[in-house]
Order: sequence, then C-alpha cells, then structure tokens
Amino acid sequence: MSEVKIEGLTKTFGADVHAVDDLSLTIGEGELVVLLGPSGCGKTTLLRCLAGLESPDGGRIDIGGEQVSGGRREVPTHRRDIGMVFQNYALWPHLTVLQNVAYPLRARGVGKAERYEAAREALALVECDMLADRIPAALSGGQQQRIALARAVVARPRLILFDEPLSNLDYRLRGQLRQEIRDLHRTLGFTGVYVTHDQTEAMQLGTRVAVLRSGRIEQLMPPAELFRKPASRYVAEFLGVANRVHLRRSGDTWVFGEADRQIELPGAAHLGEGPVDVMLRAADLELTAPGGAPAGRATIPGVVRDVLFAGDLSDWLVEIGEGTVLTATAPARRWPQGPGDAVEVSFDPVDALVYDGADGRLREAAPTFAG
Amino acid sequence: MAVISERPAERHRERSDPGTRRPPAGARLLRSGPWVVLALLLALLVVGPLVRLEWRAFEGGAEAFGRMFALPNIGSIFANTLIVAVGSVAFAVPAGTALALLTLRLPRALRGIMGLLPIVPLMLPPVAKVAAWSYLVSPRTGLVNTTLRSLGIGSGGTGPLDVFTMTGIVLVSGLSMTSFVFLFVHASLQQRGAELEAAAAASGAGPWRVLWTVTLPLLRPPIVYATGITFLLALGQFTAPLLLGAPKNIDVLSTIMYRVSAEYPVDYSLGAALALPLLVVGLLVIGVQRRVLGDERRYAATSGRARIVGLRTSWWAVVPVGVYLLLAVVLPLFTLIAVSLSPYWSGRIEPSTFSLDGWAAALADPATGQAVGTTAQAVGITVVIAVPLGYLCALALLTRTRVPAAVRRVIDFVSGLSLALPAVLMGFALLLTYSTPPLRLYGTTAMVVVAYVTLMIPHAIRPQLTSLMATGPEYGEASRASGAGPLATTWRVGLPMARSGIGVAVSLVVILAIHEFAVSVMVTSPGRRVIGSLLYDATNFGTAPQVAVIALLMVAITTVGIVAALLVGGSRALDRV
Repeated sequence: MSEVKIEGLTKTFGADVHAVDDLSLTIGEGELVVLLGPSGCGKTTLLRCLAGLESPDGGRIDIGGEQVSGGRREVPTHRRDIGMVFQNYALWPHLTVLQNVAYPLRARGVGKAERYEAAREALALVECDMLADRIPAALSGGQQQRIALARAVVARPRLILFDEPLSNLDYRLRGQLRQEIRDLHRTLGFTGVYVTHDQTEAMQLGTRVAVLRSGRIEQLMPPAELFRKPASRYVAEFLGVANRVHLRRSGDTWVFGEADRQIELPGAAHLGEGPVDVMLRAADLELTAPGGAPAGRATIPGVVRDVLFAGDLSDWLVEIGEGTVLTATAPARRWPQGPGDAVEVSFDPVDALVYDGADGRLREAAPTFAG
Repeated sequence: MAVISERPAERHRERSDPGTRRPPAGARLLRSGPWVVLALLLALLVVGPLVRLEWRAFEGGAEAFGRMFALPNIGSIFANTLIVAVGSVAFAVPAGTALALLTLRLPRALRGIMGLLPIVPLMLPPVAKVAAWSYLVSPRTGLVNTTLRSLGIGSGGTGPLDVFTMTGIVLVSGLSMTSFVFLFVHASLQQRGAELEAAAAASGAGPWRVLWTVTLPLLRPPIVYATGITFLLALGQFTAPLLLGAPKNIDVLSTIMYRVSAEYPVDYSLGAALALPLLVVGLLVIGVQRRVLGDERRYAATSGRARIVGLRTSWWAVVPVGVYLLLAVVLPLFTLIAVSLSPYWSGRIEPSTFSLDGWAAALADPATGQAVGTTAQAVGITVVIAVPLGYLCALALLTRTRVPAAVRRVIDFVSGLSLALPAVLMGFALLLTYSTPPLRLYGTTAMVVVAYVTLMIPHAIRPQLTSLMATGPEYGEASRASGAGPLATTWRVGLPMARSGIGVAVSLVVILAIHEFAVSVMVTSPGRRVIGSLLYDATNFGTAPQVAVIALLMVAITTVGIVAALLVGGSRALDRV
C-alpha cells in the first residue's frame, strides 16, 4: 500500500513567495504522476516537501497511510522509505557503481552479499551490469543517470521521486531514458512523482499529469485527455498549442485585429458574448487554395510567409493579417504552397479551444456542438 | 623586408605537417624564453637562499650538527616542536571541519553572513591574538583567572588556568589554525553543495550514516590538505611559543632559530642545522599529500551548474559558530581594547580609569609612525611585485597555456615549497642571503620587501590560478576568434575576468604581509622596524597597554588594507578570501 495523499500543502519562501499554495493531490498506488510547469511554478518545492528536504508551512502529507508531514510531525527524509533521482545524478564519486546502487540497502541494514546481489539485479534492469566496478566519474551522463535509476529502485521504496532527471542529457539520450523509465514503471509498478518542464516527458510518462501554476494545480488529468481539453489558456500554451487568435464580437460576426477583420466561424453560437481567445493546435489546421476549404470548416485567408522543413514534418507559417501568424504542421510535401502564396487556413470548429478573453478559462462547448 | 615576408610561409609549413618538422631548438627557446626567465627568477628567490643556507650546515664536515646536538635541552626542543604541531592539528582539524559542516545547517537567512564569520579571525594578526590571550589567561592577572577566582574557583593569587604552558601554547595555536581548516573544508562544501547528502538521505541513510559514508569521505582532499598545511604551520609555529613559552623557557625549533639569529655574529651553520629537520619534514608532507589524494576524479565535484540542494537547517547550528567567534575574535579584541585604555594592566577592567593616554603616547612616539610607514611602504611594494608575478605563474600553471613542462614543474614546485616551509626557516635563509656579501640589504626597506615577496608569491598564485581555471578557456578563445591578439585578449578579457581572483590575491598578500611576524622580527634592524617587530619590542621592553595599542594598530592597518583590496577586486573578493 503506497498511496500518497497531499492535503492543503503550503510552503512559502520569505514574505510573499508562495511556492506551494494550499495544494491537494492524491496519487494512487502504482501511479506515476507528472508535475509539469515552467520554472518557479512550485513543482520542485512540492517534490522536495514529499522527500522531506523542505519543511512545509502547512498542510499534511501521507505516504502509504503513514503521516510523514503535518502538524508537529515531520518524518526525516531517511525514514520516509523513498527513492529519488536527481537532475545532476548525485552519484557519490568516491563509491563504485555497485556500491552506489547498493547504498540504499546498506542504509536499510541489508547484509553485504545480499545487497550486492540485489544491486546487480537492479543494474541489469537498466542494462548497466557491466559497469558495476567502475567509478561514476568514468561514465557518460546517460550511464550515470541509469545508475541513479537503479539506485532509486533497488530497495523497492514505496515512493520514487524524479527531479527533472533528463534535463541534463542530450536529445537522443532523453528519448532512450524516457523509454527506460516507462519500462521500469511497467515492470516494477512503483508509485512515483516526476517533475519536469518538458511536455513530451509528461505526455509519455505520466499516468496522470498535473500542470502547476503559482503553487497550485491548474489541471490534473491523464495525458491524452489533458491534451484534448486543456482547461485554461495557460495549460494550452504550456502544452505547446501554438496558435492563438484573439476574437471580439462585432454585431453578428467575430472579428480580430485592429482592422476588425472578419472570421467565418460556422456554428459559433456557443461562444457566447465577450472577447475570447481561440487556440488551435498546429496539426488541426489545413491549407487550401483560396475558396477551396470544404464546407463546415472555419476559414481564415492568409499568405504563406515561410515553410520550415524539419524532416518528416514541416511547419507552414501563414500570416493572416495584423502581424498574426498561424503555424500549420503536416507531413512534408503535403501542401504545395510556398512563401508568398495566398492560402486559406481552415479548421474544424470542434477542434478549436475557446478560452474566455478575461480569465483564460475554457468555455465549454454547447451540447449541440459536442455531439 | 625579406625576413618579414618569409615568416608567414614558414609558419604555414610548420602548421601543415607538424609531425615531421618542428621549429628549431633556438626558436622554441625564444618563444618560451620569458617563461624560462620567470622560472629562474622564482628558483633564485626561493630555492637560492635555502640552498645557500643548507650549504652552510654541511660546510666543514657538517660539524654544525655536532654543535646542534650539544645544545642543552635539544631533546626537549624537538619534543616540544612535535607536541605543538600534533596538538594544534588535533585541535584545529576536527574543530574547523565541524564548524564548516555546521554552516551547512545554518538557517538560510543566516547562512550568507554566519557562513563567512569563521574566517574573520584570520583578519586578526596572530601576534595580537597571542598577546590578547596572555592578558586573558595569564595566571596572576589574566582576566579569565581573576574572574574565576572571584567566583570562588581556584584560590590564592594565581591560577587556576595558566596560558604560559605547553597546553596554553597548543590551544592558542590550534584555535587560530581552526580558521584555516574551516576555510578549506567550507570552500569544498560550498563548491559541491549538499545534493550528494540529500541523495543519501533519500536512500534511507540517517544523519550519522550520511556523515560517515558520504560527507567525510568526500571531504578527504580538503581535510588531508588542511591537515598537512596546519601541521606544517604548527611545526613552524613561532608567535605562540615565543610569547607564551618565554616565562617557563619552553622552546621549539623556531624560537631557538630566532635566538641564534638574534646573536651577533650570527651562527648561520648552527641555524642551518636546526632548519634541516623542518625542511625535510616540509618536503615529506607535501609529497605524502600528493600521494594520498591520488585519483582526484573520485572527489570531483558535480558540475558547476549543480542546483544547490539544501539540507534541513537548525537554529542550534548558530551556537557553536557563535562560541568560536567569541573565543577567536570577540574576546581577544575586547581584551586588547580594554587593556589599551587602561593605564596599567592588573587583571581587572575598571572603566573609571580608562583613558586615551596609552594611545596618545604610542602615536606620539616617532618609532610608531616610522614602523607604520615602513610597513605600508613594504606591503605596497610587495603587492605591486608579487601579484603580477603570481598572475604570470598562474598562467604558466594552466595546462592550456603552452608553457614547457619543465618550466611548469619548477613553478609548481617552488610555489608548493614556500607554502610548506615555516616562515622562521625562510627568514633565516633570507637573513643569510641578504645580509652577507654580495647583497647587503640588512636594515633597509628593500630587505623587508624581498623577504615579503618571497613569502607571498604562493599566496598570490593560488587565488589567481583558481579564478583562471574557473573561467575556462572559451572566453579567451572567443576573443581570439573575434580578431583580438594575445595581448589585447589578456587586457580586455583575461584580466577583467580574473579580477576577483586578483582581488583575492591582493587581499591575501596584504593581510598576510601585515600579519607577518617571524620573518619581520628576523630581518628588520632595531633602526627600521615594521609594525610586527615593533610589537615584539613592546612585549619585551614596553607595558601591556603599549602592546595592546600596537596590536590594535596592526588590526587597523589590516582593515585599511582589506578595504583597499576590495576596491581593486570588487566587493565579492572578500567572500573568496
């Protein structure tokens, strides 16, 4: 049983920095919850409170049914039965790889033969068994982080914490290690909390993803649902929804920009009154020659400014006036249009994410629309 | 013109196939010529006097050693030297390490200031501290003793404590060296942060296990280094045995050497014989240190960009740090001020009798003004010579500069050597070299300057080397790639980026040169004192208030020097002293 329960957690630094602000979160057994957000959103502070490296100012934390923090109780880090993976690996340079991995068992009083046996098994899990007798400084960053993973899981702790473990690795290694952490999670079924600012990591690793903003959870959902329906403009932007058009009501139509350019929005009745921000995923946009968009799609005329070729996919940058540029992503060579060509950008209104212009919250689609 | 037009072609050819054609030996020597001169200059300054001194020891069939062993008490002199050294290490290394570890546990708000306070004692001249302790714990009139007696602890007119004993010497010496140990251990802890400790705690290790399995093993390099340095410093400890050992005739090698140097004519052969054990031990310790540290990768700190992960903090950590400051700074300074204001010292602080007469008398004495002037002049010139020399040496020691390996080895050895040798030994060697033909500088400021420069070069090298290594080669390379030549690169990029290192070097040289006591009393003549030797005269022939006034003047001059150094190096330089 290793459910994690966080209730009303608060941590402030100084007088007015609310790193974690009255935050509650329950993590089910075997779940890997990713805390996602930009730097300064409080995700690392939350993780460090879970680890006991930071003392919260208020609220309560239970791990596996045992209260570890809250009130006057503050279980020290080493008695929380956790494992932790650090951004800088934090392998002890004076110990061999095997000694590093065996350390959590040593701290738990496991005999020498037994702990080295278990350490070798853990090293085999991350395919580093051949490195057992090396010292950490002799290893590459990717190898060091694999060792650190083995160290975190070796004692089968009831909770494993990941503090941006892949940020110091290059692009290719990040992909490999992401896959390995995913496999480890499937194999071992540990309960985990994973801090990152990288949305790809969050999407691929999280059972659920919590997007944090100013010490609070802005949205908590499984990754696919999160991406389908970001609850606020903040979440949409953080998930990489690149296109944003600010719309105002003008009589019966919607307009944008200073020149009040009109925009065709079939079935836009649900948008209600007041200005809105329409956010569009780059992959939901289609390009056609002017007037060529199928019926039932919202259309905006524009001019292609540039085409960015990136291997399999390309980005078409289309200026729709007033300096507003939309990005449409599709397989390379999907559309023949190049720089200077007039086009029509279209999208299915169902795919548009509409946020209130004032508070940035999602405006739920009308029932007719959802169907 | 022909020569000029040929040169680029020749250089081009060298570059294109370096394997088969190397520049002729003459050209190589010319290119590394300035570096060779630098190495020779260093060797001449440091090694020259030592060789000349030891030559004297072995002259005439080494009869000097016979005379050395014929000295009365020679056995106890050796024993005393060893006791002071081992005792100081046994006190300072655990105390300094513990203080450094405790600063990690200080509450965040206090860490910035409190974390630096343990080095403040280094700003107090050792001789002033020793003098202060003699007023605090002298058996009859010591402030601590009179207080204890008035509380009913101890009886009669003396005791219960006595600083004029071996224990007193060891404790006073150990207390002042605690700051050195702190400095090394603290720097190492700061550099790597506490992430490795956090990782151990997250692995389930309790605080003691973390200390024994992670923190202390990783601190081995600074602890080994600090132990070596402290041992050597204590082996050559001069101030404490000279001032505190006198009443009971407790002598160590350094004080005996001083007595030899103070007699006329100076028996250089005997001094050289006495110096030899110190020289040998110094070389041994440096050798052992290099061997013990071994594979440095095992202690390599994590990347400089490591996020600093703090440990749990506690207000209790304030207590030991505060106690240390009380003993090492507040109490001595307070005592010196009280004594300097008293008409005479009786072991009681009586504010009703306080007056500035002692200050007025000391300041009116022309000897004081002359000593302050000589000190300022000598220290100023020393800074101007030693810091640029240190910069060049640091450049040569950087592996990325293409300095011949032999030159680098000489510079490395010389700077290590003069750190390893007791000041008294160097003082004796310098006295021989610069007061006998062909150079007769005894009694001049030049003599003081030569002595200070020789002693200060290693201190001028280290901080500048550290700061050059920390900045990395990319900045210089970027400057070269932008079209700046080597000189322009040094001037516009190298020096500004090394500024904090230069500031630290200047501060160190200023502090250490003003505090310099052993060599000062040896190489200055009664007619031309520096502040340190003036203070020693006062302990012999003057009154307690006089001594206190001069000691405080020394503190004041040091403070002025530090402020001046800060102006050169920026305010951050102080953190790094």
